[in-house]
Amino acid sequence: MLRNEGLKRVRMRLITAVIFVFTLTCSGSFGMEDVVSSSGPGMTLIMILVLPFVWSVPLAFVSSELGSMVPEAGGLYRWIRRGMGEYWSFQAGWWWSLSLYVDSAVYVSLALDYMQNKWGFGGGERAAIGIAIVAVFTFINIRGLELTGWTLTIIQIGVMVPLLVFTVWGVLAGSGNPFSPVLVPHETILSSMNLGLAIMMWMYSGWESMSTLAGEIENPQRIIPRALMLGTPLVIITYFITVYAAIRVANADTGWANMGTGTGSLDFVSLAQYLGGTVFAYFMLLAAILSNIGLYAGYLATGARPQFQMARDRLLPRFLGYTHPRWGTPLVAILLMGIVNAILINMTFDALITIDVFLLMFAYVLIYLTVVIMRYKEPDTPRSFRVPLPSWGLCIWVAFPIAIAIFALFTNGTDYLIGGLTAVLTGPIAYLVFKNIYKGTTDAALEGATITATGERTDFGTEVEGVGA
Amino acid sequence: MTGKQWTNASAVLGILAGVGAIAGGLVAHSRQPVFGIPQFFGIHSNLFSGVHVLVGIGIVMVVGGALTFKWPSVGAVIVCLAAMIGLVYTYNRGQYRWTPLLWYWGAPWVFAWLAGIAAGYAAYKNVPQIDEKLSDARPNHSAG
Repeated sequence: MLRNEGLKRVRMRLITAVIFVFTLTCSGSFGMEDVVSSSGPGMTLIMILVLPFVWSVPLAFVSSELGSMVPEAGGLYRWIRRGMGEYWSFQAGWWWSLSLYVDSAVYVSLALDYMQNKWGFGGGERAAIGIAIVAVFTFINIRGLELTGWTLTIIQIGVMVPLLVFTVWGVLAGSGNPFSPVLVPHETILSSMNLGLAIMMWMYSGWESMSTLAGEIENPQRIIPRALMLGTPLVIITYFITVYAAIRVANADTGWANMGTGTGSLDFVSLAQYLGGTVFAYFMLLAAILSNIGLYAGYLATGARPQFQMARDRLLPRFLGYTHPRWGTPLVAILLMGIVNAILINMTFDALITIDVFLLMFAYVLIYLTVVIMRYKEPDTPRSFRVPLPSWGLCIWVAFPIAIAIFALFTNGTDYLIGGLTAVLTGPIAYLVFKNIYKGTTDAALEGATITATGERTDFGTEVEGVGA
Repeated sequence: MTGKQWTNASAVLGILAGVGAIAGGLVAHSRQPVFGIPQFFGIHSNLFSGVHVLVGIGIVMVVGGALTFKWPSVGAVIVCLAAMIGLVYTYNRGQYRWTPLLWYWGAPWVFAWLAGIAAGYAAYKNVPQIDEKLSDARPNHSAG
């Protein structure tokens, strides 16, 4: 078994990797209900089909190319280090991790909201259940990717079985043309798209996350790109068929305009109630809870890795780089994230959520810039996956998601803009503080590097390449 | 660019951030003498208005920028922290519409960020990286 930085590599089957990707980017269609009522049913379905080609497919392809070229622990943090140097890689790793600290806590809170609305327990019980969820998944993550993979598989079965039954039943029992009307009456295309686009960009994010696990998977440069290529159509199809069915059921009920996730709105659970009664609604509620718990488990796994790698590269406190002696996982980084999540879910952290979108978008822009820089800087470095476009074509293609990301920064409201602008400035401050304390590591001394500074495979890289090939 | 050049660039950008904030404060004052709700934790005083905060934070940024010439990391941290505090403070003083905020805080924020980036590059050039692997690292390619 190959080890780098004390990490244990596990043999991950392709299906498990696809489930990881599916969990991180989709995990069911809960949340899409708001897009239908704000953007119109036809526009929602069109956006589900079109947006991926200018938003998520570029990120999936770019992540595949960079991941096959630099299959190292920490994923995007190491890609950006290679393309843009230590400063920007620290910024990306810092922003991305900060965003995920908050983001992952949101998923536990959403799962708890579903439970509390249904069973009406008090604040004490809510806190206890929340901490229990965090503790269980923190342990599972520390135990290793094999157990995390199995857990996500079981969770996604629990999510998808009710959704697929709902889809078939909904298409047959529902009514109306889901593409009609295309827009919300009396709204323009732009105003219809506004809120829906922000939500859908969120629903179609996460394609880079799997890369952070590269240091703990055998043959990551082959497994992860394949999983991304299979996961991309799977996610698009899942969103399309489930929302298509939901609109038909809503049309048969009180109408698509009432779809949403707020109290009294038609969400997947209430649509299941209409379709199959209380028992089916319970199954759908369970699926919604599991969907959020799955997202939490996935993001706890991926969110902890960049900080671990940054600590190993002497850019964050050294204790974050400690691994579990037996299970070979980033023990302290996962534990710290779990503790922060457990604290956050018991607080009102609405203000913190505002930093989320901004930081993630900035990190995405750096990933896109990196892939273009690498095409020109290291055109001959081996890549087992290459975006099937010439370098100039790639530049044009990634310009779309960069433009969408910048557009999104100004469409989420003032609080998001201010929260985001403030949080971005923590990046330079953190770098200046930690760089002066810990100094950083030269490229030649980087642990777990698979290619040298001149683009040749290291001994370690050769062995990684060889495993399972 | 050398570390010294990045340091100088960071200092100049930090001073520009401060000048931008002071100028923003004066422009805001000419249009709306007390910009935002002039209170802080129940204490009502014009000193806590958005105008005074812009000017006050601007002065701190200018000082931070000047310090950057000698201590780049310390100076740039002061500039960036000042921009963060000023932005959040003004927002919480009732300036919830983004247009005036962007108008008055746009230049200070951009210059502060650029000052932070330049200081980061200066630190990268000036602080030598460690050229050896961590002592407790396991063998890179051992079978286990």
